[in-house]
Amino acid sequence: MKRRGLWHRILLNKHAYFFIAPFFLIFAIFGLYPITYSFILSFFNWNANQPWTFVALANYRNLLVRDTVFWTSLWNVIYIYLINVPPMIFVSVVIAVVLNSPYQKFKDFFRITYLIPYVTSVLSIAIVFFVVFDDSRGLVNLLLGQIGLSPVHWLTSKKMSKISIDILVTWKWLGYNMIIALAGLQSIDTQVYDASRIDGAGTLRTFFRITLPLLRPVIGFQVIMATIGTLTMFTEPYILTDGGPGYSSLTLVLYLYRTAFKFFKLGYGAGIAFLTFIVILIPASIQVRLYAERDRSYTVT
Amino acid sequence: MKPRILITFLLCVGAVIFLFPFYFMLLGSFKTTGEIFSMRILSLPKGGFRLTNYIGLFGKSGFGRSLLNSTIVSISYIAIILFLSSMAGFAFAKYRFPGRNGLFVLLLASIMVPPQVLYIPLYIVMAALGWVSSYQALVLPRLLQGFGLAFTIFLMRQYMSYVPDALLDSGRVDGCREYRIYWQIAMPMVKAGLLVIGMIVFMDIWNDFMWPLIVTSKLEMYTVSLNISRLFGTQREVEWGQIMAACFMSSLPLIVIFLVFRKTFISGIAQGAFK
Repeated sequence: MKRRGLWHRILLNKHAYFFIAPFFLIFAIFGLYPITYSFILSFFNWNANQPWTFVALANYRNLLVRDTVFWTSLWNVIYIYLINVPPMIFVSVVIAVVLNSPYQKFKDFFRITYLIPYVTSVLSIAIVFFVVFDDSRGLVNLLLGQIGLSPVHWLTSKKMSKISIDILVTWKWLGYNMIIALAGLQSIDTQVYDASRIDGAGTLRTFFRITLPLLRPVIGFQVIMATIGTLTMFTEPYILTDGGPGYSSLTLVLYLYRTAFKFFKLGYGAGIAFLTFIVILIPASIQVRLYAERDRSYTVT
Repeated sequence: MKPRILITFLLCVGAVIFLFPFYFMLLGSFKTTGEIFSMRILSLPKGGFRLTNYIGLFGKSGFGRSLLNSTIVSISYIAIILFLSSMAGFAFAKYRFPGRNGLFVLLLASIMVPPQVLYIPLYIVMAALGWVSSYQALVLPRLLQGFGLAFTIFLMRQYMSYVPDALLDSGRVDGCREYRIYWQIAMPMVKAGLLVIGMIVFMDIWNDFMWPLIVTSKLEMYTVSLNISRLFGTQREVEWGQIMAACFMSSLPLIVIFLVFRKTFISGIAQGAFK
């Protein structure tokens, strides 16, 4: 009888299936199918117009054992991440605390101007940075020259190329993180601060002992979003440095792009894609868990 | 209140830094390459605000066509996303159908897949369908990437869960079909959500770069981003002033929309992150 009950409920809700069907259809065609394809392809050698040849795990073995470029690009994204994310998130929280103060003036103005980088295309901004950070004629080096400092090879030295990308990323994402931190702060009960003031805690102490711990879930979210964003970074290095000089600012996705769409080594490219996927799996699954947890607070009738 | 003044000053320095690239693009678009690569970039253009660069940009590089392409792609993408995500969000919020939770978990899990993993096979599929350099290729596979359907359905479900059940039931009592309950009762109540999602999705598709770069080869089908990147790639022949004009024009629609709907936009980001 249970079986009949189930069919009954399915038929009763046939509209619901009709409503969600388009998504799952698109998911099957443009998600499930390509990812399976990509996985299978990663066990083959396939260069442009030649036939597929099965190579078992050779792509993965080459990537992990022989391919120093792969490891360099993995290290680059980790380096870019470590230099950028902790200070950016810290500063974003500090600015949020400042803007959350009832005494601060022009709050709306700052919120809007700080968020403008977030709404602009990375591509346009990367091009402006390319001009501004030009070695001999860029504005930054010209200004450095004015105050008597020697020019910095922002985009053309192995030491600075990743840092320059970090400057761009911080510039673009600081405001976004600030807005998220601000939303987190606004959900904190002001009585907590009153209590801490009565206890005689100073501004700094309140910040480190009260504000930061209470913001932990928000900061967790910022960290996860930044992790995924950095690991899949493409446009910034593509425009700013083209991965160079040498391989000093090559990222995983830029390497994937070159391998598959410049050199047409599609099987090998699929291998890079899958290794990138594996690297991303941990932060991405945390992200989805955060979404799911948040979703639980919306009780559905 | 001395420290407050210092803090406000520092915040102003920040504001200058964040606004500077737009100042740079805007001024640069009226200048020559020589002026852009010198301290003269900071001052107002010597010859006044001449439109030479804009005229050059629209003249030979097909920039007008790529603006049209980006507009067509963006509008059709937003329309499809808003329609399908509100429909599925409505179903996930308002029906208790067998398999609902499992399917929703599958949907959330699909957010985990980075789109870049799919690009090789997707390109092969597009090529097999003869869709390389087409609007379909720029729109359809994109429905699953970035702020695509999975994420927008997730957001839409939350907006839909605020629609009171009693209202839907009263529609049913009046003999409304389910699809009319969705379209005529639920949809008008989630306008705010549609606006927020529309803006986020517009930003995402308008600025899209890597997928168009892979799947578009014909110049007539270039989006704004591709055209700018092409101008940039041939920098020795092309005026930097034209590139600045292109960058400014590609940034303008989003900035205008952001400034007009700033309240909704900011609260949308705040909600999209944590509620």
